[in-house]
Amino acid sequence: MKPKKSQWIAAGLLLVLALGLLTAGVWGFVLRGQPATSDAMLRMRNYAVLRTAAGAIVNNIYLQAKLDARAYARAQKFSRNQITVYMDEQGELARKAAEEKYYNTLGIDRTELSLAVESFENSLSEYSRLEAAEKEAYAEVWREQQAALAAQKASEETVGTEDETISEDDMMASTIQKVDYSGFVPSAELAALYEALTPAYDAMYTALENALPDLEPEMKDKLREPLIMVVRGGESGFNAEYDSYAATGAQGAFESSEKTRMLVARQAPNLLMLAFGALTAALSVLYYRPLQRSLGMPRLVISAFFILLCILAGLYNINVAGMFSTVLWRTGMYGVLALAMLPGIQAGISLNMGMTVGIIAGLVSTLVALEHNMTGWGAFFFSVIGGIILALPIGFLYGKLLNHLKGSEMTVSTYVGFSVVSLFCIAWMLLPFKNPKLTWALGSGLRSMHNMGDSFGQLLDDFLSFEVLGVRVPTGLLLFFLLCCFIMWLFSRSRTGIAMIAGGANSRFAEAAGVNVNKMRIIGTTISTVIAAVGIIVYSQSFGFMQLYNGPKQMGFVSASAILIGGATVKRAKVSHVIIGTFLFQGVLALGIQVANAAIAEGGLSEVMRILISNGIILYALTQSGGEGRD
Amino acid sequence: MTERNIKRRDLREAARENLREYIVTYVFLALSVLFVVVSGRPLSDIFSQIIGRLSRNLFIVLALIIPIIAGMGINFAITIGAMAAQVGLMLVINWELEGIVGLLVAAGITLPLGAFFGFLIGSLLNKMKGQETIGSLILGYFANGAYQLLFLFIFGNIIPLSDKVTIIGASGVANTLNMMGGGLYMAIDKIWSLPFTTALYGVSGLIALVGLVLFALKKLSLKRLLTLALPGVILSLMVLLVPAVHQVVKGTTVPMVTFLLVGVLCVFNIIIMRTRLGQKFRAVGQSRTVANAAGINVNRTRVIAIMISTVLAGWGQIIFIQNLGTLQTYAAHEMVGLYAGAAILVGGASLNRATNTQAVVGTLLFHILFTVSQDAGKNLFGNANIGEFFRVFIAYGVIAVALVMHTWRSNAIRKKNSLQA
Repeated sequence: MKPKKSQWIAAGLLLVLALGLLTAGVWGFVLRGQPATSDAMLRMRNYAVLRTAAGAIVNNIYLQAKLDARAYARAQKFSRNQITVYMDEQGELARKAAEEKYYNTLGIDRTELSLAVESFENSLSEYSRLEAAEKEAYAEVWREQQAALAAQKASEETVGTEDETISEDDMMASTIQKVDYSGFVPSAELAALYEALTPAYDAMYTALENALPDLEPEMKDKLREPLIMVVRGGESGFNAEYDSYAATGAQGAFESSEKTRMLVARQAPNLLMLAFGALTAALSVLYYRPLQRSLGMPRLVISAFFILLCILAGLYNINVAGMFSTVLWRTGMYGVLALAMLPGIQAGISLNMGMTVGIIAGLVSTLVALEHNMTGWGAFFFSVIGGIILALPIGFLYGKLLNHLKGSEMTVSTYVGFSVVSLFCIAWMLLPFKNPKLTWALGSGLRSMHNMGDSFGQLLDDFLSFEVLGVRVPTGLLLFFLLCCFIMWLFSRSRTGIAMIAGGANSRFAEAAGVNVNKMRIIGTTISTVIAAVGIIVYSQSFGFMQLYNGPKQMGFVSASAILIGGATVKRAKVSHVIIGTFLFQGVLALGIQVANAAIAEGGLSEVMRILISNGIILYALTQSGGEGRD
Repeated sequence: MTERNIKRRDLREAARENLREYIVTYVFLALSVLFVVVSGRPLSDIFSQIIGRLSRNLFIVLALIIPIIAGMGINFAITIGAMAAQVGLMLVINWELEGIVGLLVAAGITLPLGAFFGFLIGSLLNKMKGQETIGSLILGYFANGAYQLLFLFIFGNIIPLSDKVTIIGASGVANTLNMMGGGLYMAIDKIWSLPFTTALYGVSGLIALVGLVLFALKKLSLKRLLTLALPGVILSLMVLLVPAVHQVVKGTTVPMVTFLLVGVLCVFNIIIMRTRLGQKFRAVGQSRTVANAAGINVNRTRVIAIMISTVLAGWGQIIFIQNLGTLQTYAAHEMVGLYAGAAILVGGASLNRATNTQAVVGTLLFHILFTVSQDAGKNLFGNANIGEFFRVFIAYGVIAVALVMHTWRSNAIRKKNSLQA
C-alpha cells in the first residue's frame, strides 16, 4: 500500500523539522567545544557571582527602606493598613533604584575577581566531591527509612473494605521524592575541608568588595552559602553550570548574538532528542498503515506513547539509567502474572479474570512458609511448589465450572474472582496463623502488608544481578520469567498444546478433528491458575511486600491489559505478546510516573493514566471480539 | 389419576419452579433473619435505618430495570450517570445555589450530561453485544479514570472554581464537599415527612379507596383489588393491633416526597412498557434477530434504553447524596453499580427479566443485611471488620451466583434446542 499524498507532505514537513533540530543539536555540541563559549561561560560565572553579591546589597537596601518607611509612617500616625501599603510602596521604590544601580555590573573591572573566583572554585572541588559522597550515603539511608515508614504505616492502618493498600506506584514515588537533608550531619573530615575553604573565600570576598565598594563586611558570612552554591555549578557538566549561573539572571552578561548561541549549546542534547522524536513521528506517519496492520492500533498508540514518554523523560532530565532499571524490574515483576493470561486465551476461555483464585493459592502457600519462619531459596521453592499443588485442584474445578458457562467466561470469571477475593478477606481474618510477625498485634487476623525482607524478598532480583552503565539488571528475576515463557512456548508446541490452541481458536472444527475441547479448556484453565499462583510469589518477592485483602483484586486487570497491549486478542495470543506487552505496559507506567512527577508536582496523574490505559485496552479488545458470545 | 392428585402435583411443580427461580431471594431472606437476630440490635433502630436506606437507594436500583428488559444485562455503567450527577452537584455547590432550587439545577445539568454519556455508553455496548455486563463494568472503571482526570486536573486548574469546592494549595476539587451549609442537605426529604404510622395508614387507605372506586366502576377485578389493597390494610391492622409491631415502627419518620419520586419512577417503568417504545425494548430483549426482522432498529432501541437508565441513575444519585449530606467527590460513585446490581439480583431479577417488585424487595433484603452485618460479624466472630468484609463478599457473591445460574441455564436451553433441531 502506497502512502497518500497528504502523508508524504506531513512526513516531509516532519523530516525537515527533524533535520533542522538535528543540525541545531549538533551545532550546539560543536559550540560547547569552542573557546568563545568557554569565555562566555566564564563571564557568566563572574557575572553570577557579582549578581549574587549585588542581590544581597539590594535586599539590604530594600529592608532598610521598609524600616525607614515604617518609622516615618508611625510618626505620621498612619492607620495599620496604610502603614503596610506605604511600607511596600517605599520598599519597591528603593529596590528598583538599587537594582538599577547595582545590577548594571558590566562596567566593573573583573580581572581580579575572575582570578579569585577561579582559585575558590579549585579549592571548592575537593570539598564538593566528599560532600556529594556523604550526601549520597545519607540519601540512601533516608530513602530506606521513608520506605520502611510508608510500609509500616500501610500495615498499621486498619483494614478498610475498599481502600487500596500501598501500591508500588507509591513506593516508587517515595524513591523519587526529594530527600530531606535537614538531618544531615557532615563528618569531621568534611567539616575540616569546609574550614579550609576560608582563605580562598576571603580572597574572593576581598575581590568582590573591590568590585562592589558598597558591600559591607558583615555580609561576608551571610553570602558564603549562596556564593558556594553559585560557584559550585561549574562542577557537574555544561548544563548544570549554565543553569546554575542562569538562575541568577546571568544571561545579562551576553551580547545579543551570544545569547542564542549559548542557548543552543545549553539545549543541544534536548534538540537531538526532539530531532529523534520528529524523525520517529515522520516515519510513523509515512508507514502508518503497514505499521497499523502489523502492530494493531492499540499497540501502535502505546508504542508511540512510550517513545513520547522517553523523549519527555530526556527533556525533564530524568535519570535514564534509573528509569530503565525500574522498567526492567517491573517487567520481571509482572511478567509471570501476565503469562497466566496466555493459556486461558489459547484454550478459548478468553481473559481469565478469575486468575485471582490462583493468586490466592500462591498467597496461602507463601503464608505457610512465612508462618514457619522459612528463609532463602528453601522458602521460595516451598512457596512455589505449595502454590502449584494448591492451584492444581482449584484450577481443575474452576475449569469445570467454566465449561458450563461458555460464551460469558469473562463476565463470570471477573465476578467469581471478585467474590473469591472478598471471601478471602474474611478468611485472612479467621485462618489460624499464629506467627506474631504475620498477625495484627491487637486482635486477630493477618496483617494486610507483609514485609518479605527477612524471608525471601528480592531473592530472584538479586540473584546474579549486575549493573551496566548504571542500569541494574535483575538477572534472576528476568531469567525466571523467560524460563516460564520458554516452558509455555514448549508446551504450545506439544501435542496437547496444539490441540488446546486449536480448540480455543475454533471449537467446532477441533471437535470434528477429534479434540476433546472441554478437556482442553480444563487444562488451559488449570495451567493459567497455576501460573497465577507462581506469578504472585514472584511479584511479592520482587516488590518486597506481600499484599493480602484487596491487594490481588485488580491483578487480573493488570495482567489482561499487559497481554492485550502486547498484541493479543481475546481469542488469540502468543508468548511474545506477553513479553512485549508487559514491557510496554510497565514501561509506560514507570516512565509516566516519573514524567508526571517532573512535569507537575501533583501526584495521582500516573494512577489516572493506569486506570485509563488498563481499562481502555480491555474495552477495545471487547469491541474487537465481534460482539456475540462465542460458543 | 384423580383430579385432586393432578392439582396437587401442579401445585408442587409450581412451588418447585418458584423455589428454583427465587432461590437467591430465599437464601437471602434466611440470612437476613439470622443476621438480624445475631446482631442483637433493637428492631426499631434497624427499621428506621432501613426506611432511610430504602429512601435513598431505591431510585437507582429502579433505574436498572429498563436495560435488563432490553436484554442488556445489569447496566453497571450507571456509575457514569452518578458521575454526571456529581458534576452537577459540584457546580451547584460552586455557584452557591441553595435548597431545592440547587437540587433541581443539579438534576437539570444531569439530564443532558447523562443522556449524552448514555448515548456514548449505548453505542459502545452495541459493539460488544452479549458482553454488556462486563463491558459496562469496565466502562465504569474507565470513566472513573476520566472523572479523576476531570476533577483533579481540569476543574480548579483549567476551569476555575470558587473556594467553595477547592482547597488552597491542593490541585482539583476537594475530597469532601459539604452540603450542610447551602441547605442542600435533605432538601428533598425535608419537604414533607410524616411519622411512619400516619404515612402507612394514609397510603394504604388511599390505595384501598381508589381500588374500591375502580372496582365499583368495574375497571378492576376482585383478585387485583385484593392483591393491591390487602398488604397495606394488613400491615396497618398489625401496627394498630399488635403493640410489639407498633413499638418497632413508631419512632420512624418517612420522607414522603422521596418515596413519592420512587413511586413515580415505578409507575413510569410500568407505563413505558405499555408504549410502543416499551414494546420495542421487550422485543429486542427477547430476541435481537426477531426484533430486527420485525423492522425494529435494534441498536437505536438499545441506546435509548441505556440513555434513560443513565439519566435516571444520575437523579437517583442526587437523591442519595442529598440524604447523606456530604459528597465524597472521588468515592461516592464507585460502589453505586455494584450495590444496585446486587440489590436487584437479590430480589430475584435475572439478566433478562426484572420488575419493580423485585427491585424493591431486593433493595429491602440487601440493605437489611447491610445494616446489621457489622454487628452480626462482631457477635459471631468477635470482629466488626468481618461483617464489613462479609457485606462486600455478599454483593460480589450474589452477582457471581446470578451470572453463573443465568449462563448455565441459558446454555443448557441452547444445548437442548440444538439437540432437538
